[in-house]
Amino acid sequence: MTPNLTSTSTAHYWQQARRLTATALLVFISACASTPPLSVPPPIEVITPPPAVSIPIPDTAVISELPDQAEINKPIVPVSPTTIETRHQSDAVIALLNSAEAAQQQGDFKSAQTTLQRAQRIAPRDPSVYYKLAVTHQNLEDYRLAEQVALKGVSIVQGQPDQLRKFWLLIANIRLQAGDIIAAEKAEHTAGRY
Amino acid sequence: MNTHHHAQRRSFGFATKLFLTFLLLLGLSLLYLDHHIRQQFEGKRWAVPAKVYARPLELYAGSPISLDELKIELRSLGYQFVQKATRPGQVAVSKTKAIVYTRGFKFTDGLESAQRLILHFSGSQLTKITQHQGQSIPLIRLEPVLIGGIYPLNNEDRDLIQLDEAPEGLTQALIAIEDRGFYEHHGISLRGISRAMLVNIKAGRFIQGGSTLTQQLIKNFYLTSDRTLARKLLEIPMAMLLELHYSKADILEAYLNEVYLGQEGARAIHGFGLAAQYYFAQPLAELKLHQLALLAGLVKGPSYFEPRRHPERAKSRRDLVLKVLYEQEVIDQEEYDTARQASLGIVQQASLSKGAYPAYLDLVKRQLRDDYPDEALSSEGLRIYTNLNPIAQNKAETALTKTINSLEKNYGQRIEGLQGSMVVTDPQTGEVIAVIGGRQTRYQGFNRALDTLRPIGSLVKPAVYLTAIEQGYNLVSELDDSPFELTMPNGQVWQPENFGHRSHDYVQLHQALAHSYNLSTVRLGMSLGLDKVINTLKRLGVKRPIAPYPSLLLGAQGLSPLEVATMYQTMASNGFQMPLRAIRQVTDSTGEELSRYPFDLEQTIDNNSIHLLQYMLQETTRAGTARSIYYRLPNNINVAGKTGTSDLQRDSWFAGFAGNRLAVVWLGLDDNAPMPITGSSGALRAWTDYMANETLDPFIAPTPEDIEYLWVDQQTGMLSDKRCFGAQQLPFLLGNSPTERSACAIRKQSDPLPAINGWIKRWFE
Repeated sequence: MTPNLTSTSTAHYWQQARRLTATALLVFISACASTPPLSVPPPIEVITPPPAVSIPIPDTAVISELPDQAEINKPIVPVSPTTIETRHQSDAVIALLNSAEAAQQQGDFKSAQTTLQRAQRIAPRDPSVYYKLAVTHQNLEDYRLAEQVALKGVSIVQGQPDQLRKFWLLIANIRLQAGDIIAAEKAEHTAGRY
Repeated sequence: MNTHHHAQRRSFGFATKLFLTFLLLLGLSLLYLDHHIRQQFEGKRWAVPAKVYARPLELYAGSPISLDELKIELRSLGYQFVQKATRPGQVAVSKTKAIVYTRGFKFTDGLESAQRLILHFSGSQLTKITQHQGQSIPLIRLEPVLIGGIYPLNNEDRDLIQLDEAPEGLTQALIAIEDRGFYEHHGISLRGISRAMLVNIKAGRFIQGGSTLTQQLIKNFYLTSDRTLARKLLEIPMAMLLELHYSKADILEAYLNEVYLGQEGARAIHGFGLAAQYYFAQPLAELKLHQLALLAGLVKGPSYFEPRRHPERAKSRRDLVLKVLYEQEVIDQEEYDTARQASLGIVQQASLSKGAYPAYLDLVKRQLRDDYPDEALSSEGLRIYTNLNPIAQNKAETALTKTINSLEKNYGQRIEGLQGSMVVTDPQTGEVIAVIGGRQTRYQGFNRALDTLRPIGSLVKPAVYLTAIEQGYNLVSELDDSPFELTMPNGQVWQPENFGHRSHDYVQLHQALAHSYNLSTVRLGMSLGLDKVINTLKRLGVKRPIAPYPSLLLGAQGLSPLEVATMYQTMASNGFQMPLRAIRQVTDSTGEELSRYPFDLEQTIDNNSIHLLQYMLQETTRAGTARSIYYRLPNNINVAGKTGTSDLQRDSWFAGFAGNRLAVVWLGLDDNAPMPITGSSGALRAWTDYMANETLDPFIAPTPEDIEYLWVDQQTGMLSDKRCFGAQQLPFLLGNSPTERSACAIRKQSDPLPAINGWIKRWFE
C-alpha cells in the first residue's frame, strides 16, 4: 500500500463529506427560512451528520481554523448518518406504490405483494414500501412476516420520530390482530416514545 | 345329396361365422384404435419441460443500466438490430438512445403490452423513457430471458404454440411442400400413395410413404418409426379415424407442435415454436417468409438438411419450398425474389442464454425439488421465474476468470488448475443474482458454489466478535494477543499463530478484527464459550451442525460459498436473517400461479450489536486486511467485508457487501493443496474487480438511537477529542463507552471551539 494513494483518496473523501454536509445544511436552512420546501427539487437522500459527534456543526467552518488536526485525524470509517430520509420518490416507485394500493383496494393482496417487491428492488430504503408490504402481509394473515417487514422498516427509519411512531403503531396493530395483546401493548408503548 | 347339402350348409355356416368373427374382430380393433386415438389426442399430449426465466429487466428513469448493458439484454432476447424499429422484437440504437419495439409479456401481476419506446441514456444510467409521441413513461419491464429448461428423460423439448400463433406463411409452406391436398382429403391421399408406390417399385424397396400430414402425425404420435408395411397398414385406418373425429385445424395444430425438427446434443427439438428459437433465436411470429420456408423444408429430413452443418443443402431445400409456393401462386414474384435472395439467417449458437448458467440453474432445481416432484418439472410445462441477473452474472464471470488467469500467470505451477466460485446476492432482498460453480462457467459439472465445503478461515471471526459485543464488550475492549498453547482433551497441543508470526501484547477489539489477529480471537472465543459462538453462527443463518472445537474460532468449519453468503447477508441487512432466494414464482403453462417465494426475513441480531459489527467490517475494508479495495473503488462507496484464509493457505476467501450487492468469492485447488495466496491476494481481487464494474450504492445504515459516536485515542482506547493527535471516532452503545479521558482530551475540554460562537450560531438566533 502506497501512502500517497491513501492521502489523495482521503482528501477526495473529505471533499465529498464537505459537499454532503453543505447540502444537508442548505436543505436544513431552507426549511428554517420557511420557504416552501419543494420549490427546489430536493436531493434524493439527505444525509444528516449525527449529533452524537462532539461538534454537530458542519466541519467546513471548523476545519478552516484547525487545519493541522483535521489532517491528522483522517476518518477511518465514515460515521453513519443518524437518519437516511427519502425525500424524493421516483416516478417508477410512485407508479408501483399506486398500483399496489389499487390491488390492495380490490383485495388482490398477492398482486400487491408482487408489485411492492418490484418497488423494493428499485428503492430498497423507502419506508413506504415496507409499510405497505407489512400491511399486505397483515391482510394475507401472515402476521409473523408482517411484523418482521415492519421491523425492517423500523431499522430503516432510525432518527425519524414520525416514521418510527407510525411503524410501531403498525406493529402494535399486527400483534393485536395476531392475538398477542401483551406484545401489542409493548409496541404501543414504544410508539408513545416518539 | 342330403349329406352333401348338409356339408354345404355347414361349410356355409362356417364361412359366415368366420366372416362374422372377422367383422367382429375388425370392429373391435377399430373401436380399440378409435379409443386409443381419441384418448391420446385429447389427453395430455406432450411432456413439456419446465421453462426457466431470468429476472425481467426493469427499465425506469434513473435505473442503473448503460446502453451497452441494454444491448446485451436485448441480444439474449433475440431482438433484431435494425435502422428503424417497426415491429415487436426490433431495436434501433444510436449513441445515447435506443428505440425499442418491445414484444410485451403476460406477467402474473399484469400484462406488459408491446410498444415502441425511446430510451435515453447518459453514461451508466437510463435517464428517460418516452413514448413515440413524447410522453414519458415511469417504468416498463422487458420480457424475461429464457435461460434453460428442465428436461424429461427422453430429452424432448418443445415450446407449445396455438394455431393462430403460427404465421400464415408457415402453414402455407408446410402444406404446399408436404401435403398439397391437406384440406381436401380424409386422412389419406390415394394420389400420394400411388405416387409413392411407383417410387418404391422403381427402387425395389420401401423408401417413400406418400404420407399426408395426418399420416405423419399418426406416425409420430402413436407408432414407432420403423418403415414396415404393417405399420403403414395400421396408419391408414388410424389417419381416417383421426380425420373423422377432429377438425383440420386441430390436426394441423398438433402437427406443428409434434414434428421433429432438429437435435442439439441429447436434446431433441420438437415443434415449430422451439425450432424458431433454436435456429433463429426469435419467436415464431416474428420470422420472415424465407425463414418460415426453411423450417417447413426441414420436416423432410432435419439432420440431412441441418442448416448449421449443411447450409447449401438447407438453402436449396428452402428455395425449393419457395419455388413451390410461387408456382402455386401463394406468393407473388416480388415476395419470391426477396425471399430467395435472403441469406439463411441462422444464429451461430443455438441460444445465447440457454445452457449459459448451469450453476444457477442447479440452485433453482434444488430449491424447486423441495416443492415439486421431478415428473412435474419435466413434463407439465411449468414456468419458473428466477432472480438471475444475466448482466451481473456476466460481470462476475469476467472478474473471476480474469483474476484466476492472472494469478496463474503470476504464480505459475504452484497454482495451476486454480478453481473458484462465486455467489452474488442483493443484500436488501436476499435474492440470488448470480452463481458461478467453477472457472469453466458454462460447464455443467461440479458446482463449487453449492457443493464445496471448505474451511472458511477468518470469515468466521465476525461471529466471534458479534458474540463478544452481545456479551458487553465494546470496540476498544482490550484483548490479549500473545502466543499460547491449548491442550485438547485428547492430549494434542494446539498452538495458533498470527499471520506472519507476529504477536501483540494487547490490541483493541476493533483492531483485532480489522487486522484479523488469530491469537486474540481464539483467546476471546474461548473465554466467551464455543457454544455461544456456535449459537451466533446459527443466528447468522448457518444451518449445518457445527462441531465445538477450538479450531472453529479460526474457521476450521467447512461451509459452501452459498452458506457463507447467507451468513454475510444477515450482517448486511442489519441483523435480519433472510433465506437466499433463487426463485420468485412458479406458474403452470397457462400462467396461473402455483407458488411464490416472497421476500422473507427474521430479525435474529439486534440493531445495536449489528451496527457495531458493521463498523468493524467497514474498518476492515478501509484500514484492515481488505484496504486494497480502495485502490479500485471510489472513496464514497462504502463497503464492508472480511478476508478469509484457511490453514496452510488452502482456501482464499472474501465475503463483503456494498449497499446493493453482496458477493462471496472462493478460490482454491480441487486437490486441496496449499497455495501461495491469501484471502487478500486472491479472492479479494476477484471481488474488487467485480464490484468495480458494477454500479454500486454505498453501504449505509442509519445509526440506531442507542448508539453514539465518540472520539477515542487509537493507542489507549481512552476518550479523546477531535483535535487530539491519533483520535478516531468509534460507535458505542450508550452507557458502554470508555470513561477515562486522555490528557489531551482533558486539555481540550476546557478549550471550547471558537467556531461554535461564530457565524453559524448567528444563523439560528
